[in-house]
Amino acid sequence: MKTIKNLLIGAFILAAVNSYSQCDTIALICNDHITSGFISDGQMYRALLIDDQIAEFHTTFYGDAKYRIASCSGTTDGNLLFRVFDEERNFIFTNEEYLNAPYWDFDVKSTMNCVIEAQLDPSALSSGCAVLLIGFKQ
Amino acid sequence: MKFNFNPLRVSAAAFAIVVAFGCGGDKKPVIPEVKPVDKRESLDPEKAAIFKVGDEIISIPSPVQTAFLLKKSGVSYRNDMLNSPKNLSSYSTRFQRAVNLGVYGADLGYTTIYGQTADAMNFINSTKRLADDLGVTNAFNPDLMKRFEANMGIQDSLLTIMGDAYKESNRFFQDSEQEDVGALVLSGGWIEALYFTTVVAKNDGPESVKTRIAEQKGSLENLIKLLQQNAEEEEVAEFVSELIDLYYLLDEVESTYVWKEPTTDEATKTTIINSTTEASIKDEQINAISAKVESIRNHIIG
Repeated sequence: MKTIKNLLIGAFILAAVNSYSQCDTIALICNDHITSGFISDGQMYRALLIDDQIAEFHTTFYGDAKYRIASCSGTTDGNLLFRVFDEERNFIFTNEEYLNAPYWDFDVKSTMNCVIEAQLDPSALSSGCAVLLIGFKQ
Repeated sequence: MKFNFNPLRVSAAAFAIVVAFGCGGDKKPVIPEVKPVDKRESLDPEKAAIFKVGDEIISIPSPVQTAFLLKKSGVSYRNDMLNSPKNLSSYSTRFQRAVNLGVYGADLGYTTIYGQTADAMNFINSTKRLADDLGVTNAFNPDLMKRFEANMGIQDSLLTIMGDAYKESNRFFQDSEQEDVGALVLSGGWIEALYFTTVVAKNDGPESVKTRIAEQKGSLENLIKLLQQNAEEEEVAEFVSELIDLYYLLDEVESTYVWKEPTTDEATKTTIINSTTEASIKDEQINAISAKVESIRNHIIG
C-alpha cells in the first residue's frame, strides 16, 4: 500500500511538473508577441483549460497608454480565443472576429477596469494550457 | 463552464489525471478543488462582496507605468523618496523580503526611466539579493545582471530586461505554489508607485499625478482580493487590514465612468477604447491618502 501511495505521489508530482512545463513552453512562445516597444507588466497569466471552460481575469488599464494582449495555447498561434469587456461587461473586443489573432493592441484614452476572458478554440484544441501576457507602452 | 486563471488549477488537473487512472489510496491528499464559477453570478457585480476573492485572477498595473507618468508630467527626479538599499539587511522575514522585492523593483523602474544609472545599479543589486533570499535564483541570474550592466543607458532594453526578470519571478512563485509571495511582491511595487505619486501630489504636483491617485481604487480592490487568498500569516493580515483602510479613503473619491463604443482598426490590429473615466480628488483627500500610504510604506520598508 505504501508503495502505491508513493507511486501516486510521484505520478502526481510528475503530472503537475509536466503541466507547468507545458505552460512555461507556451509562455516562451507567447513572449515573442510582446515586441515593438511593448514592455511586459512582469506577470504571467495561465490556466489549464478543458473543452469550453473559460478563464477570466481582472485588470486595470491606465489612460494615455497602449497595451498589447498576447494569448497563446499549444505550440502554434490562433488556438486561444479572448474577449475584453469593461467592468460593466460592455463588450470591447474579441480576437475571434479577426482569425483568432494571437495578439491585439489597445489604445486606452482613460483609465478603466477590464475583464478578460480566454477560451480554447474548440476547433483547434480540446484541452491545454492557456497563457495570457500583457505588455504596455506609454 | 467558467474557470479563472489560477496556477493551482494545473495541480488540481494533474491530480485529476492521477485519480482518473484508477489509483486509490487510504486517504486522498488535500488538493484545492477545481470549482466552476457560475457565469451569471460573476457577471453581476452587485452580488459580489467588495473583497470577495472566489477564484478571481488579478492583474496589477506595473509600477513602471507610474514612473513614466511622472517623467512625462515634467516631475523632477527625487532620490530621497526611494527606499534606501541600506535597509536591505534588515529584511529577514518572508513578508519583508517579498514586499521589498516589489518596492525595490518600483525604485529600479523609476531610476531607469529617469536615466539614473548609478542608482539603478544599486537597486538591481538590491532586487537580486532579495530575490536570492526568496529562492528565485533564475530571475536575477548572473547572465541577466551582465545584460543589465551592458545595456546601461538604453532605457528600452533595461525595462525589457526588468520585465523579463519580474515575469520569471512571477513564474517561479506560481510553479512553487507560492502565489502569496508573488502577490506580496506585486503589492510592494504598487504601494511604492502610489507613494511616488502622493509625494509629488502633496508638493503641488501636476493634475495628471493627482488623477492617477484618484484612479487607484480598482487596482487596490484587485490587490486586496489577491492578498486575501493567503492572508493567514499575521504580517500579511495586518498589511491587508491597512490596505482596506486605504481602500475606504480611495472609495470617497468621486469618479464617473462613461461607456463609449470602441473603434477597431484591423490593419493595425488596434482597438481604441473610447470610454472615459472622470475622477476628481480634493486636496484634503490627497492629504489623507498620502498619510495612509506613507504609514503603510514606512511599515513595509522599516
